[in-house]
Amino acid sequence: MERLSHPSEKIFLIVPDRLDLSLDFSQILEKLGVEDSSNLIKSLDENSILSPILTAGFQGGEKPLLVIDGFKRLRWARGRGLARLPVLRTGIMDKERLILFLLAKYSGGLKGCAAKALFLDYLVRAGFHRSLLTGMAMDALGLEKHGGLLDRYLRVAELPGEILRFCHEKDFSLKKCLNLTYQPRQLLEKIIESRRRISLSASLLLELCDNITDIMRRDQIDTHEFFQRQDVKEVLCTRMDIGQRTRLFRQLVIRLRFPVLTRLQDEVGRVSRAYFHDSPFSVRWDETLENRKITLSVTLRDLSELSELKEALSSSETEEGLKRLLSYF
Amino acid sequence: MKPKRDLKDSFRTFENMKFRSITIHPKVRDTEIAKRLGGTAAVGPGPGLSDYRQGKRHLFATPKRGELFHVCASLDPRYVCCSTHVVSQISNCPFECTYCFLQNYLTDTTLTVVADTRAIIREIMQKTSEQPWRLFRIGTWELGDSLAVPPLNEAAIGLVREFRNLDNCILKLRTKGSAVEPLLDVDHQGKTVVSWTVNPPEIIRGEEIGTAPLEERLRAMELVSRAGYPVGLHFDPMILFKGWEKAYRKLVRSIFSAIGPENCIWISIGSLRFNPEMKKKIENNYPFSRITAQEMVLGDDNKLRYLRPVREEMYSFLLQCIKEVGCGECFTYLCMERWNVWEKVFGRSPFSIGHLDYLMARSVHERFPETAKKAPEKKLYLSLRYG
Ligand code: SF4
Repeated sequence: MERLSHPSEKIFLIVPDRLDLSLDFSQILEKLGVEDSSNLIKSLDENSILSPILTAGFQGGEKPLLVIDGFKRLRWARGRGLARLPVLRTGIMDKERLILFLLAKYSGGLKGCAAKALFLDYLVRAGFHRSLLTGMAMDALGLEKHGGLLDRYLRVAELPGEILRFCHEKDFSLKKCLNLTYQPRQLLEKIIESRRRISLSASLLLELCDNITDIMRRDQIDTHEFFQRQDVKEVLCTRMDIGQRTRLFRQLVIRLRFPVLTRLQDEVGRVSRAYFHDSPFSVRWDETLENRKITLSVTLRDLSELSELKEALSSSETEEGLKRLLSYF
Repeated sequence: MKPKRDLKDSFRTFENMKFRSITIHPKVRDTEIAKRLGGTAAVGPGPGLSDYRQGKRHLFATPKRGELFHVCASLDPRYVCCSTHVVSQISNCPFECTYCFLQNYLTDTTLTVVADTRAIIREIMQKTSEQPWRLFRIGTWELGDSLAVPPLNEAAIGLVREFRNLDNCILKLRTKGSAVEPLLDVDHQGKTVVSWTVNPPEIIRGEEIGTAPLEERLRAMELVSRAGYPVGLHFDPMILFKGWEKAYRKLVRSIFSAIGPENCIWISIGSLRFNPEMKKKIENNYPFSRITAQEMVLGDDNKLRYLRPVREEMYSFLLQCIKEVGCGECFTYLCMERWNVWEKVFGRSPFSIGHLDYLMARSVHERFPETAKKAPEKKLYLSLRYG
C-alpha cells in the first residue's frame, strides 16, 4: 500500500484486487432498472476518478478493504485495467455505524416493494443482525418494525430478477408481490416473457397466473404443455394489435378455466340477443348463473316511449324470451 | 404439473392419531372426561398453540367459558338452512381434511374439549326451555369431529346420557371416524343420532387425511345401528372427480347394505364450498390436492361452489341412487343451497327455514317416535324468524 501525501493523511493508492466488493447494492439496483449510470461513466471516461473510494475502517490488514461507496467507479477502474485506485478509510468501525451509513446512502431512493425487498435481502446477506433490520432498517424504509413483515419482504426478494423488475416497473404493492411468490415460477417467467405480445397490468398478471395454474392443476399439465396448446399458440402468435391480442388471450384463458360457465353464458347471451336485441329495455342476469333473477331496465326520455315499452313488455315474444332465459336458472 | 404426493404420504405414516400431550385444566380435573383422559395427563393451563397442524396433536380439557350453544353459523336467509343447533364442545380435530375450514379459522389451535358436561347441559336446558314445543337438533361437530379418536370419543358419553332427559332435544354426533365402541353400551334411549360424513374411498384417501377408511365407517355404522342409535348420513361435501357418478352410486349401495333404510334418520347432501381466502390456504397446505381447480363461482354467502347446474346434476344423481336402494322415505335435504336448486332437485322447496325445521321434526316424530315423542306444530315452526 503506497501512501499519498494528502492533508487528510488517510487516502491511499491501492490495487483494485485488495478491495472487497460484497456490499455492492448498486449492481442490484441496476438490474431492477433503477440506476442509470451513463452520466457517471461518461464523466469517468473524461476525467477518470476524481474522488476516492470509501471503505469501512474495521476490515483491512490481511483482509481486503470493505468498500462502502464508489462501487461503480471501482467497476469502471477494473474494466479499464487501472493498476491503483485512491481509497479513503472511513471511521466506520462497527456494524451499527455501517448500517446507518448504508441506510443514509440508499434508503431515501428506494421506492416500491420490490426495491425495498431487495435492499432488506441485501442487508441480510451482508450479515447484519435481524434486530438491526427490524429496528433501524425497516424504520428508515418507512415500514412497520416487525419480524413478520420483514419475512414477507424477504420472501418477495426471492422472486426471479425479471419478475422483480416487472413488479418494480408496475409499482406492485407488497400484497401483489407476495401473491406472485405463491405462483409457479416457470409460469410466472413464461408470462412475463410474453410481455412483447400481451400488455400486462398487475391485475391481469395475477388473473392469468391464477387461472392458468388452476387449468394446469386440473388437467395435470405443466407450463410448457400449456403454452404448447394449439389454441394458446395461435392467439399469442396472431398478427394484430397488442391490446386486441391481450383481450383474446385473456378470453381464451377464462374459457379454458371456466368451460361450462362460459358455454352457458354464451347460450344465455344468444337467447337474449335473439329475443331482445331491439327491445326498448335491456336485459341482465346473474353472470354466475346462481340467482334466478332477470333484470329488465329501461330509460325513458319522453312519455311517448311508454306505449312502445308497454307493447314490448306484453308481447308474446318477450314472454317466450323470458321463459327461455329463466329456464337456465 | 404432476401432483406431489409426498406430503400426504408423510401424514399417513406419521403417528397422526397419537397426542403428543394431554393437559387438563385444574378446574376440570375432577370431571368424568378428565378422569377418562388418564393419569398421564398434565394438570395446568393449555399450551395455547397457533400452528394448525401442531394443535391437532395436543389435547386440552378445559372448563366451559362463555356461551357454547347457538344456531349453526352457516345460517343465511338467502339459502335454505336446516337450522340445526350446535354446542361447540370440541375445537380442532385430529383428522386433516384438505377442505377443512378450520385451517383458516382457529386462533388457538390446541385441540380443546370442554370437560364440563354439566355446565354445557345447563346452558342447553336454559336456552331450549324457551321453546319447549320445538325439536332442537344439537350437534357437537361445529369445530371438530364428535368422535374422532380415543379419548375424544369418550367425551361424548356424558352428553349421550344427559340428553335422555332433554325431551325436546336430540344430540347429533358426527364423525369421519369409526371409534364408536364407547357408545355401544350406553343407555341412549334413542335421543342421540350418530352420523357420518361419507365420501367414496377415492376422496377419503386423497382428501380426508387420517380419517377412517370407508369399510371401517360402514362397520361402525352397523355397530351403532345394532345398538339402537338412529344413523344420520351426510353426503357433504360431495366432490367432483373423474368417475364421480360410479363412485357415489357404489357408496350409496355399500352404506345401505351395512344399515337398513329404517335405521337412517336423515340424509343431507351438499357440495364442496369454501371462502375465497381458503383457496390459497388449501393449495399451500395440500399441494397434491386438486379440489380447488374445478370450476367454481362465488355465491352470495361469499363461498365458492361448483356451478349451479353442476351441483344440481350431482344432487339429482345422488338422490336417484338413494331412491334406487329403497331409501326414498328417509328425510333428505340439501345443506346450504339455494331455493332454486331445491326446486330443480326435488321439484319443490320448503316455504321457509322454519318450514324445513318443521318438516324435519315431523319426519323424526313419525319415523323415530322414541327420539321425538311430541308431534310438531306447524304454525309454531312457521312463526320462527331467522337472519
Ligand atoms: S373431520 Fe371435519 S373437523 Fe376434522 S379435519 Fe375433517 S372437516 Fe375438519
